[in-house]
Amino acid sequence: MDENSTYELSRDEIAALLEEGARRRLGISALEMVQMYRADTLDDPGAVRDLLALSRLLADNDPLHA
Amino acid sequence: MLDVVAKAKSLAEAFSTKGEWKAVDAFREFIQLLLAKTILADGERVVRVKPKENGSDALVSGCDSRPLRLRDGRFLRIHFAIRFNRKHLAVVESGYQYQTDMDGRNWIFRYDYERAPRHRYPGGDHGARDRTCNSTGAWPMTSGTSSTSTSPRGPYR
Repeated sequence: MDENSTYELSRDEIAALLEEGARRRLGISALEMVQMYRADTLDDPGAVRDLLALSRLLADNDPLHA
Repeated sequence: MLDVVAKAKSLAEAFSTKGEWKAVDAFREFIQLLLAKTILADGERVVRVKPKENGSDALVSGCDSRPLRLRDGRFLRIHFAIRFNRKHLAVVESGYQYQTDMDGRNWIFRYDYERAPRHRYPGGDHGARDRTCNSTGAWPMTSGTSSTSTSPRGPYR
């Protein structure tokens, strides 16, 4: 396997990617993005589907899933 | 070409039958092979992302959550969220978005899939913006847009 084909990310590194992506694309925090998605109030979830999928890598009891 | 087909078949068999992480590696390599042989710009890589603390899930996507650069100068955002279901690799969520800019504000086509939708958003949905390519091959981004969807709700709303 290519050494550079796997990225192992800590919880904080995943959270930082989510925060940066949510703020750049939607102008809101990662927590707001996840909460709005769960509340069905996110206008266009397709715009951040990859970020929402990335958030799946966090544990179920992570503060971002609170 | 026959080598590519043989390699693709071999990888498809591997991600259908191998143990957990080997299956994800084979799946990632399969996606890399298909894209690299068709539309991916040189040097672009599909990666597997795995969490340090939670070992049950993985994500196959562009590096650092960025879209992949394509040969036509545009971008493809892809992701596959993977979980193991009775020892078999299952894609629980996936998405593709063809776009002209890095951030995806000017997207042309998108398709999203979610195996078990938890919300009102459709489990499988696609959207396409109807544009006419101009003489330079560029897509006019400020007018003539519309969306289509297989969802009875329409695209995302």
